[in-house]
Amino acid sequence: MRGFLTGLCLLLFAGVGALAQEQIRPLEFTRYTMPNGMTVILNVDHATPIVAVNLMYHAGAKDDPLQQRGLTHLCEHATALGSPNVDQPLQPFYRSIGGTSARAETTDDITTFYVIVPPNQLETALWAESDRMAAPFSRLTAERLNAIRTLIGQERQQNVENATFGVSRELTLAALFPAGHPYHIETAVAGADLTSLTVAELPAACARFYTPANAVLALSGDFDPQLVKGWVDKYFASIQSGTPAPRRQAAPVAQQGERRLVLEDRRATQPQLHIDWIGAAYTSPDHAALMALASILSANPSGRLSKLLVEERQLAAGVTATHYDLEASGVFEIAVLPRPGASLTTIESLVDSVVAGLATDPPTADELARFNAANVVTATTSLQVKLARADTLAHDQTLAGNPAFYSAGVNDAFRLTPADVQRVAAKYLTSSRVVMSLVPTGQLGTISKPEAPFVNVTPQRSTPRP
Amino acid sequence: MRTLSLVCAAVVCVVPTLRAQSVDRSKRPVAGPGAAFRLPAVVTEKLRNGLNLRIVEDHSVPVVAVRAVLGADSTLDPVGKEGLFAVTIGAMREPTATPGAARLAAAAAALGTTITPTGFTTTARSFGAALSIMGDMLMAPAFDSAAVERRKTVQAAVARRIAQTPSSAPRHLFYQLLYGAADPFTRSLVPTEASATSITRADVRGFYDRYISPRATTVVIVGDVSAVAALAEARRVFDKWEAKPESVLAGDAPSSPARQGTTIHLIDVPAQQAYVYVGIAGPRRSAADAASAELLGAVATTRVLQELRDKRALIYSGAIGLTWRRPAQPSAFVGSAVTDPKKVDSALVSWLGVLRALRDSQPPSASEIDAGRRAKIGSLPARFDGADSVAARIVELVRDGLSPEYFNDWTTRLGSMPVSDVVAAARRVIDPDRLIVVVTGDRRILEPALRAANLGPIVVVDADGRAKP
Repeated sequence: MRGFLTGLCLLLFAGVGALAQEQIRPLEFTRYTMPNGMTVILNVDHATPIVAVNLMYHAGAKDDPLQQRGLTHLCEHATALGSPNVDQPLQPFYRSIGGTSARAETTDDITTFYVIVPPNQLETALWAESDRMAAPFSRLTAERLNAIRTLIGQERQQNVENATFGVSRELTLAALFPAGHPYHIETAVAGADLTSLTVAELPAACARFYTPANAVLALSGDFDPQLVKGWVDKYFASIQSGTPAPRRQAAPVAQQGERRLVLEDRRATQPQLHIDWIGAAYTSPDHAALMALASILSANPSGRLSKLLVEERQLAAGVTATHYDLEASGVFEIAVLPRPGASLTTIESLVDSVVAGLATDPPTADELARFNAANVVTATTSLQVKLARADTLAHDQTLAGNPAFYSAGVNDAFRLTPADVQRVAAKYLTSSRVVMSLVPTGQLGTISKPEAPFVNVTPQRSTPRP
Repeated sequence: MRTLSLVCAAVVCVVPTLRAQSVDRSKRPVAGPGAAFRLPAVVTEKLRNGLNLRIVEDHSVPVVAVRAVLGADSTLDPVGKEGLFAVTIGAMREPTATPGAARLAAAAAALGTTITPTGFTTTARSFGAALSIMGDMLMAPAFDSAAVERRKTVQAAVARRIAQTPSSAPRHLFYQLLYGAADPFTRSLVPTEASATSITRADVRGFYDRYISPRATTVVIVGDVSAVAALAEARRVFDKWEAKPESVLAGDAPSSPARQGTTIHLIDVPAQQAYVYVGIAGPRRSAADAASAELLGAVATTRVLQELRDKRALIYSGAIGLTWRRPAQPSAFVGSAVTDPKKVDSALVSWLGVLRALRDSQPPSASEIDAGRRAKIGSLPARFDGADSVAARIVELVRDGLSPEYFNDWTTRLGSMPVSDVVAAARRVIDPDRLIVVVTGDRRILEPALRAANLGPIVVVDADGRAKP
């Protein structure tokens, strides 16, 4: 599984450092769409003898039917068992041919299968992925479906419930987005309503996701593009296009006022404070300004919150402000790790004063320049790695229809003005927010503003296993 | 702007003419011969003050990665001062004693690059400026009281975070049982809030003066800069660093606490899942049999995943392998996983069964070893993908005292390793009667099941490793 939503930082690539010349260029790529609808993106780089293969399907947890929460994740596991001509799970198969980093992930918006292979095994990898796409559930049996349900429970326990305050993310999303909204989701768990799904029913429920028309194949690395086009044609062209997956619409969320939550964890030794707002979609024109706002608030050590809470008032050991991307929305979060004994109430008030202060104390040219400089360096350095390049190209094609969308994001940010940042702060960081005090069990006296009404969202028991 | 092949304009191609013909996928493609991978050439230099340099040119991306391998790490923290190395490095990031240091800090922010005394990654264009700032941190720390106090606060927060991480206690207890509680590596795993608080400015200054020096430092530069230019920049920055008497890492006292029989150590803590650590001492990385033990780890991982994950869904993920320490010390041949407390007895029975079989009844087969070999060798180039990765591998070589040719030799060794070597490694490394097993979870659930499984004596301890009745 991917981490807390889809991060921003790995999406960019840049050229140079001087401010006046900061127009970055996208990765070199070739893109074409096959008659069956599958988009292919090729990025050739012979520097290291590897090829990153990324097959991305436009299907994530937000596409789960309301009564089948967790379906896309269950489908992802069901396709990993092997295929008609690959008689073992895909992970060990790839290991056996010298592949590495073989993984599958389901996020809120997408499902991805990726692997790094030696160049001489690229045709084999394309053969295996096409075999999976042509018959994704050929190895599914009732026994294996039961094992997958157990495994998904293990995955959730390991990655979510076993981490201290690990459930905070889904509780935050559930509070930000109202019931019925596509992002009111629990990504990792196959819900109880999937327990009755039989081995005969699952392929029909999942098949609409794993079609060529819903897929992007991105390759980055050491290969001959003409040879690869021939292989892609040979193995994928005969797969039927499939019926486009219906998508649930993400309606705008009405202002809901402030919701104050408390999450207790008996393993915790120190409290935290999270303040979350609904942000902008990945392709929104407000996206870059929200990223700039996050930097202006918490870049270390010059960010306004960092300076105030960490250096001047010495109330916090760390502060982060982040805008997390979603396809149809976003989440802007300020997270504070207080020093021992520091009052969450005081910290929340100071955060509010800094956010409110943006209206009268606009971002300076230096603050925007620092953000843009960091943006360029992140863009330049993060795509050294072929796996990140293939992922970025596929991601941006899937969500924005343009593999090089990231470069536009970096370039657009250079045109930001202080007023742009002020505008998005006023538009998004409103009173419609979620304030969560995360505290060690029993320490309700340490929550922020304990006199204000709050809901204790601490899970009372482990999530039922499907 | 310079145009590199990697960053030219996008090309959107016309749709190729394709015909949807059926394909016979029952015929698996035959892979051609794999290209041999050679480690990028490493230029080795030494400055007049003794500072060592390793330079690798990689012009595929306009990025330069710089790392400093210091003659110190957290295993040199004195008893009761765990966290001193971290606080010292942290305080070195604060404004230095150099006039205009505040200006340098502002310059770092303007570069958009996170720079620490031990490294940075930035654009080729910013390499020189960033190296100047990193050099200033390394050579001229001010260690003013406020900076040290700030870093102590950060370290205390780190200690609290470690304490509340569920995997910390079993990991610490495992290494405590393997190497001893007083072993520097074991101690370095659990800095405490108290140890962080006890650190003084004099401690920090003393640690720096004793251990941080040019002679004990190797600077690794990898990326889009010529070796000549990198060397010139390094000289510009570091030539003024005064040589000090040689300071080297103190050798950890080898320790192997006496153990009698495989014992299950149960840490009684509330948890919804049980952490499992199973392991034993392995060979040193420089030992002749290290590579065979690595292949053994690959085979063991495959078997454990097949048995516990694919067949029985007892774990979601897990791996077995060698955790290296500096070459003078034995490694750990260790595996870990997370499982349902109700299934921990089944998981342990299966896990120990896999290890016993590897040693005795079902030694590693030729096909398993071939698969492990392909996986290990095949994945090596990916470990050199990009300047950061190459720098990390060079740091590994320097830190562990390995030859620049290590990875090339390793590939050759693995490629030609006979089955008998891996079978012998299984017999030598796996001693099923002396394994260290650590499990965390609710005693009320785990203890009865573990006793019923009859895997060995059970010792129940608290989160700090103290025996409970």
